[in-house]
Amino acid sequence: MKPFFQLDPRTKIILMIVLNFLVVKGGHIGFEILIALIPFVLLYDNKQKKLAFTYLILYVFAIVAKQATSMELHPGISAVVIILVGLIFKIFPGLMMGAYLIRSTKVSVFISAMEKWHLPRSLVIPISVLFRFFPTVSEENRAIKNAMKMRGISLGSQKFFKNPILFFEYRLIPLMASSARIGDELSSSALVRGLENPCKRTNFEEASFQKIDFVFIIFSAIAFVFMFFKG
Amino acid sequence: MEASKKLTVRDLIHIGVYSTLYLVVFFMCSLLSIVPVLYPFIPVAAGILCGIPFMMFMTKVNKPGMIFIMLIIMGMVAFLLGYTWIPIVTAIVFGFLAELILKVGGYKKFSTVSLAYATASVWAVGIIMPMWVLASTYVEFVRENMGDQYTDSLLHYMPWWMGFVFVGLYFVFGLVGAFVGRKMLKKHFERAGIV
Repeated sequence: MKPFFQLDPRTKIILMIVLNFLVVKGGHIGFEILIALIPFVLLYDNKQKKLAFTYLILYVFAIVAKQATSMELHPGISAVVIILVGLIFKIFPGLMMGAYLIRSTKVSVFISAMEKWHLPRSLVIPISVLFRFFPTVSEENRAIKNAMKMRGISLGSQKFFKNPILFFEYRLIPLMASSARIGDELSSSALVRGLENPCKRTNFEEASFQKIDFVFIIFSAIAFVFMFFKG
Repeated sequence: MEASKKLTVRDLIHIGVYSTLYLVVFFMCSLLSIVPVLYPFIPVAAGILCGIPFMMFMTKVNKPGMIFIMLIIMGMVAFLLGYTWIPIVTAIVFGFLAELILKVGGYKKFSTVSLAYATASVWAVGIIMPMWVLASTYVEFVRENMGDQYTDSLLHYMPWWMGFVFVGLYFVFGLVGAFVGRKMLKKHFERAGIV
């Protein structure tokens, strides 16, 4: 089944910027929750259910914890809790939106959208590589982490304390090596598919604004204006 | 390789690849900011560890514009993650300076490359600069979200002149990072034939 929300990449980017603004600016708690629900709905819709629910649970936990810290607690504990809660409230919605943006967007549609914004090619290509490559790097990173764990090298393990610098070497170097190889393959495949062609690109799937995009953009515009006039 | 001075598509793809690696390493390092006392260690960790992807990047591409484009992307990502517009400005400024250094000194010499990396890595000051440039709103925002204790200790450890200290730290540890990066390249990659 296709996701219900088929957004244009441009809408996603606008939404992400507005979301960050709103979340940072803050406001009534109900309004903040409403804003924070947007990434959840989009992630859920995009079949990233595990991430969506992890996010939801953390957020609910943060709301509860925020209420709890207004009660009397040991100052040291409450400071830690407040920092974690603040992190979840302020950074997670944006991050989740980013995760959605990266996972839900096909690179070709993204390129077509960026070309409609008339960004120069020398910027569009690296950015779309970034898009394509970010999930790959984190996947590689996870694999290397597991492999090193098998050798008893993980953050906080005995070998870590013996030589912390070597720990970074063990974790970073394989990542660099595999990424370099994947990067080479990526560029070969892009060249084979004719990315170097100086003619105007044609797209199988053109990025275009649909009704649903206008709903989201109008919603974010209203929320933005509302936020500003309320101070 | 010397055939054209303009960035080819292959170069642009490499810029994307190494920007990703740089960002991944950089954000791993910036996780230190959860504890305010560790704030000054971010440039140390980021400067040294990001040197590895950067030095690899310098072996793959050496044409005008490479660092500039990379830094603009960094600035944009920082902007999208909610660090205000200031990182974009610092990225443009330091990207331009780094390009200038490479232009004058050459793209292959280690001395200029390490200087350029040190200069370029100063862009990250833009991520903490809102603290002083947009001081009142930023402090208000941090106080509201991170609690009084975090804010007070943050202000205590981060007076305005720390901005210049940070520039210095990023620069110095950028140089260190360049050395570490080269050492790593020699130790691991040249032998394996990846570079």
